Amino acid sequence: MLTLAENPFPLLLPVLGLAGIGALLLARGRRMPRAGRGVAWAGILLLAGVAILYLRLLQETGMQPHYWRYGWIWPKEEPSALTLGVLVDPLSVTGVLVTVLISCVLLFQGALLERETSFPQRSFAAVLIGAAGVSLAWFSLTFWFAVLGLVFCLLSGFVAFGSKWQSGPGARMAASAAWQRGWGLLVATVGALILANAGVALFWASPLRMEVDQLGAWVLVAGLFFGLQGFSSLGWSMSAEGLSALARVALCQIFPAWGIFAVLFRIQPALHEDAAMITIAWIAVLLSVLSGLAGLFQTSWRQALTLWTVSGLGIAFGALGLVGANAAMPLLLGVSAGAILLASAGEALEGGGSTSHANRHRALFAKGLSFVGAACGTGVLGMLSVGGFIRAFEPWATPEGAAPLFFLALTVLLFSTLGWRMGWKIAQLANFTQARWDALISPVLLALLSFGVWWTGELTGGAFPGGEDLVSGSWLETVLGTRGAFAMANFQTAATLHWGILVAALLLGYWSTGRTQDHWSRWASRGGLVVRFVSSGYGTGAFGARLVRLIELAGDSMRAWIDQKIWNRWIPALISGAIGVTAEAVSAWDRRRGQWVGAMARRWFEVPVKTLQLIQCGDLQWYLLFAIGSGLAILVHFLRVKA
Amino acid sequence: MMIFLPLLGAAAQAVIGPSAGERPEAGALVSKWLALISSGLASVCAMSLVVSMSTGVADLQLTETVSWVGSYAITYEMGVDGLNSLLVLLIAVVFPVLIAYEWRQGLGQRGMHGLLLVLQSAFWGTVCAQDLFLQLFFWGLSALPFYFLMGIWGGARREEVAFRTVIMTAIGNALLFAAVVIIYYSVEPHTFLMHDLAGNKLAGKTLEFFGSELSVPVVALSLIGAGLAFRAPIWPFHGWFTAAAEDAPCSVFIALSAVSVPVATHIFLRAGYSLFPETLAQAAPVLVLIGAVNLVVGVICATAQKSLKPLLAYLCLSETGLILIGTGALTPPAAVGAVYNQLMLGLGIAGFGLFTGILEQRAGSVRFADEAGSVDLAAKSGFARLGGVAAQAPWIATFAGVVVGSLIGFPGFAGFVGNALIVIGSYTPHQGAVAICIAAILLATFCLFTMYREVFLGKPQHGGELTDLGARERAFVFPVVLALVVFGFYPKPLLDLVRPTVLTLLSTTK
Repeated sequence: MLTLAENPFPLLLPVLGLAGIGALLLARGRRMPRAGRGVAWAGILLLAGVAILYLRLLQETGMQPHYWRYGWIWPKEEPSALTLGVLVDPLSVTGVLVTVLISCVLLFQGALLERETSFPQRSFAAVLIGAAGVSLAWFSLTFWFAVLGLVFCLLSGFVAFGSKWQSGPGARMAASAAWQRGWGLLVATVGALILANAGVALFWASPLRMEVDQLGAWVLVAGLFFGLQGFSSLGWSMSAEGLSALARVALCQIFPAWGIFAVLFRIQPALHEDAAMITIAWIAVLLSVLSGLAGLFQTSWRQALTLWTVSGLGIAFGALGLVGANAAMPLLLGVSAGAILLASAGEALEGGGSTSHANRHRALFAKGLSFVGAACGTGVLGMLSVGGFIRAFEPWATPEGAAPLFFLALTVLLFSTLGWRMGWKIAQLANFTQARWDALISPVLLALLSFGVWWTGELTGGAFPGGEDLVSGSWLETVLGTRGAFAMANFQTAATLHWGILVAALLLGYWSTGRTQDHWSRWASRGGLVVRFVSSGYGTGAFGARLVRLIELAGDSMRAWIDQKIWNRWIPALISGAIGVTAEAVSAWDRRRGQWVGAMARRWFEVPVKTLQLIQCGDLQWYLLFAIGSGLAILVHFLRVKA
Repeated sequence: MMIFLPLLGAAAQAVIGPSAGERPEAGALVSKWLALISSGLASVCAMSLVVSMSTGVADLQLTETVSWVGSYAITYEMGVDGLNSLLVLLIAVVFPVLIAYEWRQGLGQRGMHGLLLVLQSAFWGTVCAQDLFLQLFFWGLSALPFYFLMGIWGGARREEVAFRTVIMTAIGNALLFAAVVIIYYSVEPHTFLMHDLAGNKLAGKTLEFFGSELSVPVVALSLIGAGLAFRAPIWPFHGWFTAAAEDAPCSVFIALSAVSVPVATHIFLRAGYSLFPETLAQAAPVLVLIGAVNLVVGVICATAQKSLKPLLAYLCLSETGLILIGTGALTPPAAVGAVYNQLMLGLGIAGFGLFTGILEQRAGSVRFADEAGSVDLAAKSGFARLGGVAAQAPWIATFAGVVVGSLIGFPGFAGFVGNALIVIGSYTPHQGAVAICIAAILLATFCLFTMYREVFLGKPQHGGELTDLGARERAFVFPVVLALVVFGFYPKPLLDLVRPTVLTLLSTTK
């Protein structure tokens, strides 16, 4: 076992191999139509095996982290080095094990993925690539390996949309989902580069000092948040046409979120009092309110689920920034498990089936699943997320913190109400389903995962202070390296508030959706401008389209003026005109000079020339001229001699 | 051998080929294989040259010196170092690929291959020359083939475009020539050799011009910059370049944008860093400003394009801006990033040009969106635009995906390495430029994702079957894809070549 500690390749090769298998399935999947699910299972089980092996290694070495670091783009000894590395610690192994569980649930629902497309291998490839990406992000020692993992997550989401690539709206959705994540990733990358310039290597094995460059920290955190929640480009999640809710939620939201939180959990200790983290955390909470509200007005449970997940991830981010990892991790787990359970139940019930007893039992089970999903996410007693909510409320549960507490409470109320509304809405979908039992039972894995007892050692999931119902040690504290989760001064107030919100949300959910009439849908359909504005995602799509049109107009104008008018028309016309005018002027001048030279020539040479011409043409008897001339010359000569 | 082998191949194109009454197909086959072999062999020589270079050495390596015109101290001196080795590799990759791409050229194939081989020699000569006159000679030689390549094999406006290209390159070369002459007469004894002129030897030299004294480094660097701006191209002197994009054959525009542009930036970088370090340091903010303007204008114009060819031209414009920012930042990471990006710009743009050309060969058009209001006109004329290509040609879609990933600068692709180094190195001296970089990268991401969606996803828009990459095409796109992925994951060997030279040259700018 200790040989595993010598180098990272026994870990890296299977993880990268998983992405390779995914790529192979994409490229060659059509040639092995039946092999997709089996290959995907083999890959995920291999990943599980690796994670378990390294967990045992950690146990053997007293939970001491192991890491390996290599230079990548700049020599690792220099301050602005960009390095790659692998880190094995309890947190990274836990992250990968959760990823394995989510992947297993997806593969158990293979029939659903296969039903969706004529090329189901693409969905299995997306699962493998996504799982590889998330694992890489968790096993990463530095930011740069994590980014590579996040690129895999982005690719996984894009591949997941494969069945919709050939339809216009589907393609639009796939591309906008990808570039929205891509934007976040690129902004975070620029932030990390700015920090690298300041000498912050984003190397998890040593304490980070990110305060040395505030702008870098801001850009990094903003990029990660944008990649996580992507509120400003909700277009892809609002669109009615899309792939199954399960694939959309798991591959386009939960996997990338786990990858991003792998980085956030590592950098949060360096930013827990930083203005960047705190400000963006409040923005996350605000956007969670907006997404929760928009979700309530959705008539389709798929869109509502996407917005519920967006809202939940925003609350988890807010909890991380405002309180810490011990509040965020339970919420992340709760939202992830809840979203996948709700999606699985919804897909099972929407598939329909004959009115047999077996199908009725299946449908009853699926309905139960939808309520368990809502319970996982909203923090019912015994679930892990209950501790997350209470921890998130606790610092503000004082008279001075009334305003922030009210705001947080409102956020959680909307989120919980939407969760229970979805539970009811999904339960009302059908009374019979022919979904397979393994597909129905598999999400229970995630329900079990979100039980608090596994994480906090408490049967209540952290709902009582002081560890009163503690039955074992807290794995959450081992994983996060945090202490004092039970020493909360304002526990009573926070817990009371949480239970109050939960009861209110349950009642609201039942009153608005659980009874015969769905009030939210009625308000959405009858609603005026404001409701339409809210339900359409606050016009972000239209605003983005206008912005793009503006940029295109600027580009078109620049091209029309600089390229086409100035360079294609005016400059050639100018040059041609200048050459023409110059040539004309020179030619005129030349003509005038010619005339002048001609006149001068006539004046000076015309008489002798005419004379010569006369001689030459014979009009003058030249011999007489020369004879007379010669005679005169001789006469003159003798006259002079005599003289 | 590396430089003259393609020239020999070009000469052979003129003498070996089909003769009347014989078998013209066999002659054509011999001539194209000869072109590919001469280009490929020269590329193998170039690659082995780069592989044989010692890492960690800043000085010129593997030099060759022969006196050429002794009375004017013109020397045939060639050599490789960190500044030019990556471009030697770029030319080695691109030209055999272009010859393979034009394998089925029906019109005057021998002529086209011959001219491409002349270009290959000329560009290698330009980047390896260590004598200013020799460099100018090869740089001038590289201009003329473009005239014929565009004028004969171009589109509807080929004569106009070829004429404009040759006029602009002639103006650029004239300015460069003036700079070289000024430099030559500024030093005693007169010389064109770069290593004799290097290290601030020109500092303090003046030139009398109509009674006023001008600084030789300022005048010469300005003339070199202006001369190269016509060929790089730099906004707003780029009008001929975008026009060439539309009417030049794809292979020719690839040579123009993916090779000529990086080589132009290389000439400026070498001249600036080695001959005029102090002047360059003074002009750095201006250079960064020009780079930022190029970057922003290029990306904004690219966003508005509805056809792949002008989009390629504007992307090239913006990438050139990024290289200028890296060159002007004058910090080790930024300068190394600028040199690395010359290679990656070349490979990325070559990849983009290749898939554009491949799609044009198949679909007959590279328009991917209708102009506003032109839908009816398009319907009447039966004009089809690209769309849904991935369903019919997944290999082309995958190839384009890798190229787009690299051009955006996603981590794991080669484009990321250069961009990352430029951002790291430019942040402290020019924070504004980095902010512009962020905005431009985000806009480029949007623009390229939109292009990808329109071309490759959605319902097929063009009529008829669109065939995927054949074996020959896979073979020639493979080196480009391999380079974009491998140099993204493992850039160390190349960076180790570049770093020492750049660090040594930068030390003279301080």
